[in-house]
Amino acid sequence: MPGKSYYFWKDSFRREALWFRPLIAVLFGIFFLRLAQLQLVRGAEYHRLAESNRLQRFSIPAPRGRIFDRNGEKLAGTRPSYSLYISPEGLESGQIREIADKIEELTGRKAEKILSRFYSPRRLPFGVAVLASHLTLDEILILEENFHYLPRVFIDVDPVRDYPYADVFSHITGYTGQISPEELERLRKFGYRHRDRIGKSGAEMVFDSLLRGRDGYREVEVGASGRHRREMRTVEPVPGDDILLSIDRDLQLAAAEAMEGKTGTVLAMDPSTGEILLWISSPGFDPGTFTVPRSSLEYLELFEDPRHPLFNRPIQGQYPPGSVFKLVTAAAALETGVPSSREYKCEGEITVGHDRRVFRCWRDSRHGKIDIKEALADSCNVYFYLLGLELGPGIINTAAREMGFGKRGQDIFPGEKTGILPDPGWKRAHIGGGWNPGDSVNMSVGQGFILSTPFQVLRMTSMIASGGIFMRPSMLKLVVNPDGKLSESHTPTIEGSSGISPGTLDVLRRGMEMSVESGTARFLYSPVSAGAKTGTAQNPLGDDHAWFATYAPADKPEIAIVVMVEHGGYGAVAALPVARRILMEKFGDRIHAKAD
Amino acid sequence: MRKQIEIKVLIYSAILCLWGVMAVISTTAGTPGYSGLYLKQLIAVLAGAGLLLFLRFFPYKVLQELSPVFYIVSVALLAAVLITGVEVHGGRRWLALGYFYFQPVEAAKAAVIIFTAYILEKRGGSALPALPLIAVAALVLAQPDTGSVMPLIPVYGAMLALSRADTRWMGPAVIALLTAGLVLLLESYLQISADTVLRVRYLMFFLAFTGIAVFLFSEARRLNRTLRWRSFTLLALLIWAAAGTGAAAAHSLRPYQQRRVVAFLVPDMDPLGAGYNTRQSLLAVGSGRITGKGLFGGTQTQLGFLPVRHTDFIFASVAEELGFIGAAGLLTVFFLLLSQFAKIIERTEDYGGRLIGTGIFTLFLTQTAMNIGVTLGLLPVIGIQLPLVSYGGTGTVIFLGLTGIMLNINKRTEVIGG
Repeated sequence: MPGKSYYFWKDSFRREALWFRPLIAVLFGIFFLRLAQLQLVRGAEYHRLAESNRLQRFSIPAPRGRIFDRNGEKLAGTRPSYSLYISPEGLESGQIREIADKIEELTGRKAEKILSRFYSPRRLPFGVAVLASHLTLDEILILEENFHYLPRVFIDVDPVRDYPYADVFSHITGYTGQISPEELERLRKFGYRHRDRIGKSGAEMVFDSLLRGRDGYREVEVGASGRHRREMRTVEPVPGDDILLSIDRDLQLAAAEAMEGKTGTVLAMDPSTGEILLWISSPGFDPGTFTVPRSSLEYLELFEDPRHPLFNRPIQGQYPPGSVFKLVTAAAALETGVPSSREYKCEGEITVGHDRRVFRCWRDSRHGKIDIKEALADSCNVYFYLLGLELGPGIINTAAREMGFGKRGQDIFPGEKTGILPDPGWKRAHIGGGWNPGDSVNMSVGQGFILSTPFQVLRMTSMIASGGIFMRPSMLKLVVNPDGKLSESHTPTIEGSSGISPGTLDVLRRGMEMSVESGTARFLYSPVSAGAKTGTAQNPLGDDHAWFATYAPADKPEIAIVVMVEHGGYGAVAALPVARRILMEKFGDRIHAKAD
Repeated sequence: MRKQIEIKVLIYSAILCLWGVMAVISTTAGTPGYSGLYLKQLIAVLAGAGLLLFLRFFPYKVLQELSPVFYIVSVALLAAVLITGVEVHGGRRWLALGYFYFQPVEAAKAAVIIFTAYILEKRGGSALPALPLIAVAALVLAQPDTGSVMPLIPVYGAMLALSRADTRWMGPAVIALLTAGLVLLLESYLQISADTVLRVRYLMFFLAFTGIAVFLFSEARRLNRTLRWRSFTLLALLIWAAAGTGAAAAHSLRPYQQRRVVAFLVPDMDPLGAGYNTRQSLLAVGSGRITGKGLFGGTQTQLGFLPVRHTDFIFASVAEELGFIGAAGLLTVFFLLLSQFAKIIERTEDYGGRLIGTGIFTLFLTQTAMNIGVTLGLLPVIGIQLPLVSYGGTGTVIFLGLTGIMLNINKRTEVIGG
């Protein structure tokens, strides 16, 4: 042993080896601290994360509530739809191709389409994929017979929305669709979730919170590979409420039949309650289109249809009201002190203003000397031209507002238009130029710049029929809980009364009744007494719009109806028969009663 | 004293081995196909105990003299595994021996330690003793099994540092390695995140740091004239070169490799990708909280979220099922065992014995620290066993054998030291 260097080395070695224990102390100190940080400080947070790692929630959709008419006839419900699923676990890579080919061979559904669904990233829990949806009964039968060729394939049932009357009730029920990002943003706080189905229009939208119910879920413990599954707990869904609407299915069906092929609106309301009895916007659409996936071509057809089936005409269509507006002019005159016995002589036409414009009556044979009721009954233009010249736009507008024009008339459906009530200020701002006497003449018979929605005309008719009361328009009658209990029922509420005096309204009603007895509406042949006003509105887009407003029975009105046929021609010809069909449906049995 | 140390070492290693068997039972119980593993582990523990007792009495000096033979055999086995090894997960690491699989790299680690000690004592110098390590590293990297050779680098460094060889170069070398590693990490992160702000900031930091270093050095030099500008400049150049190398290496990595490097820095960045393992491990450890979820009750462990839970992530499983109490307890046993090892080295006066002891101690410490560091998210994912605890027959037998050598060194301390 070399003495000196040995000791030098020994000492240096000792010195360096003495670092070992401090070194492990520091290293293990770090580990202890880190362990404490993870387990003691952040333990709760990691515990929560580990729980969500292991537990997956699978939503169980709540059955959507059904929609019925006032007599309990189903307008929208749920029906089973069968889809073909595959649980691809344990399937070899080439097998899916074979399966797809086999399905094509059996059902004719394209293998490429099936494969693209299989490979789409949107998978259900456990990697399950939908191969084909909305299977027909034939397809189900042939697939089930051949299941031994289709490993890991199964058929399952999902509820889909079903509308038994296709397009008849389309604007009443509306339709459902997948929730949009904007809707989700707005509704998240009410419990709506990504991929929910939600009402997009009509009652489906307005009463969505009643209809949707509350989704349940299954909580499943799932291992990393997906092989381990254990049901932890199930929260059953709460089905949505059923709702009864004030709509009368039979009236709606009758009206729809009468409107077949026509474009326009039919509305009816109970004047004593404000309940809406029918609501047709023609053409309609099949709400089921949005339930069952269709080809994009079919959607395109619907959206691009020049007759705009998705357009809710009763509140979104704005038309010149034509002669039905004469009721407003008459009311304006009577309210400003013009006596109901005031007579004008109809010579078939009048000449107005410096430019000597000629305005004609609709009847070439002249009405001669008539009073206001006769003028309403036979819809004499000249009489109202002269009244309009006398009153001017201000007075007419005031009466029009009292009778519901120029503002929204309901709070059931959104998107309502207000129409236009023109006055000199409006004309200057929108058209230019001053107010001519000719503008007053036009306005007196609902022509010119004035626009109104069919719903406004309905409200006016209903108000006249009820003696000056505006009932709040309503469509929801009853809400029934899933366990069959009544949870809510609608009580008619008065929204307000019009400023028109009862005496004036009596005159208007008399004029309308005379119209049915012997005037322009004499072909109504109503089974019960009725009052009516026809209208034929010229418009720059084509043939005249046909209007017809009526209420019946005359002594105690139970229904107010407005029919509006776009480019239908004479109101008495195109619109009247639709109203007559509704009256027959509603009051037809009273003919026999009378005969007895 | 000697006796006390021996008894403690025996107790601690026995606790670790039995705890390991228990952990293997818990981590494999729910996994079909893994059911018999704990039995294999138990057999390995018993075999290792036999080897421990044998080496406890077999003079390590003789072992050291025989080490060239061991070394050659283990290199031959490593070569054999490359040719006839069992391929698992894209790497050839095992030799099939009937019921058992033999992992030559574990034996090679032991052979490298003893053979390096042999060369250091016989020949000295710092280049020649590195040859055993280099040859083994080349063969292991070809498997490829980077994780297994990594601990040998600090093992070699520690043995060299405590040897008689000239080790003045080691300080700068460690600085250069750390710099290169750090820059590699940072550059990889920047490559992935494309964070220009951070890039500018760290370049500025680097420049500012150099400036401060220059200032401090000139101040120090005013006080002590013997400090040489030349050596300082050389050191600075070395650091810059290392940083450049690190950056170049980061840029030559493929994106997925960069992502893997970065994943441990920010495991949440890519929860299902490269960071998945770290994230699942952290969830397991953290969710164990104070008392754990109970043996067989760990959801991360039992439902398969925790990857390779019976080997590389066994500590996370212990932390999940037994909580802070269990995990801290296991850490304490490791700490106590390593303390006894350090005591043995301190008390040994035989040069070869100290070298071998240092090698064994460093191997134990490095593997333990790397495994637990990975589990606790302090290190990037490196596949490495937790000594004596992880499932793995060869590793368990070898580590028990190395413990036996430690005891043999311990036995001879006072005899040699006088």
